[in-house]
Amino acid sequence: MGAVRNLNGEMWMFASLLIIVVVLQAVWFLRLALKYNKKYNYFSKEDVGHLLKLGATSVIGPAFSVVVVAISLIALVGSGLTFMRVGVIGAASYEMMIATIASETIGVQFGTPEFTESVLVLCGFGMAFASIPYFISTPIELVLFDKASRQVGKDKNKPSFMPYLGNAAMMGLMGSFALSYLSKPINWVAFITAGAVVIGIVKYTAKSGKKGLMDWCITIAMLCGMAVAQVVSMMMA
Amino acid sequence: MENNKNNLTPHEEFHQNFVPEVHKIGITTMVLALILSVLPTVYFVFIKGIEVPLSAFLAVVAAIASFAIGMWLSEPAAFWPVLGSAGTYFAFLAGNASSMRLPVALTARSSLDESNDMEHPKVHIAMIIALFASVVVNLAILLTIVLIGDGLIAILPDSVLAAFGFVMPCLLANNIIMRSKDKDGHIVPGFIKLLPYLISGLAAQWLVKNVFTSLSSYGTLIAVVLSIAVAYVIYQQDLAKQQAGK
Repeated sequence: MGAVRNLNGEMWMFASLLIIVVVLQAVWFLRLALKYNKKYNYFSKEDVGHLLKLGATSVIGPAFSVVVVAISLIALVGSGLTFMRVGVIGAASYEMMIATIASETIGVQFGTPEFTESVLVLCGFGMAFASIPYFISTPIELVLFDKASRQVGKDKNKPSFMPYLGNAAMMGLMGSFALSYLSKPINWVAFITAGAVVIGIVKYTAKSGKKGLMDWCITIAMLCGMAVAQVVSMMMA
Repeated sequence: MENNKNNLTPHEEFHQNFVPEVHKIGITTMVLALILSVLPTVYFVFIKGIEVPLSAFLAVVAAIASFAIGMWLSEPAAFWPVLGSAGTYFAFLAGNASSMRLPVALTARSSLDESNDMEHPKVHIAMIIALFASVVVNLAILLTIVLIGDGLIAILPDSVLAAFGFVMPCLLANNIIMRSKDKDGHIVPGFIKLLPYLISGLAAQWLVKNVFTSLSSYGTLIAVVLSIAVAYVIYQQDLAKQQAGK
């Protein structure tokens, strides 16, 4: 692991720079949102607080689910490179696959003496390269789509196709995810449990008018789904 | 009152003012990220002088591009109709589009009157505020994990770690229900309306995985495109019905 130890410090430096850009984007968008919110009074201070809480709590589960893979990635390429890659675009499992492809391309295994600084640099390059085209394709496609949607929406006499488009795209995505995530029967246990909890929370909030519980909806549903599915799978084993 | 500026409809405000600002932020940060992604390699190879043969770089580029090119092109396109431009910029810089950004964005807008109107600034503002919090908290958790890493894994029992494997089915359930529900908490009517799209997405992915396997890296995009095609048919029918009603 000499190569990883030697370069880890510098990797952290580059990681910090890239993470700063991620934070910069988030803050900059927030400022834009708050500016418009002030102009049109869409949301009260309390509503904004709910939205912030919703965003903050919902990621706790998914963020921890990254842990297992992220830790194994640290063991392979070091903490600096892991933080850099998993904090930007990368899902840990995707980055793991890329790192493996990069080292296998030149026929070197992780943790062996052949895993030199050169191989580590190559892995880092491969992981960056796997995301870089997104930085180009995303802005180009989004600008084109927004232009197109403006054209489509111009005819005011007809109801717009845009709401249909949004629903269809969303459910198309969900359907395509369902095929892989619901292929195992045990995953149905998680799916149905979480679904039941969400329905329960939605109905309760609609009846009682208490919005606060909605902020925790994803978190509670996920914890219940995970717990029940795990208990069932242990009972079956 | 500020002259005629305030007379813009939400849709006009969205297209004329809001969207250009979103792209300014998005493009600037994407370009910065691009430069900073290339920087480590440039530094290690040209400044520190660590030798990596050019042929190795090319081999890695070829290996990765061959399977990722479909994702690079199709993923932003697949997420845009759902997340809008600001949300998609979040998803493709901070990452974790389907496990974090999508559920947060959907839940954030599900309680709005305008939740279906992707040309209303209000919908985007709700999503941005929630996404901002999700990005910051995610990075904080990640940083903690990376720093304490192995220690944490050692403390957690195997059964707890295995349970994290069920995160995605749970999120799937949440997303489908959030999209189906209206602001009064009714779920079934919305779900029935969405069912054709869900089925077309599922069918498209199944076909790509089992029949047209050469298209497998475009599966997500094909699922979205097929669902949109189905939506267009339904839209035309609704238009015809409306005209007949007049």
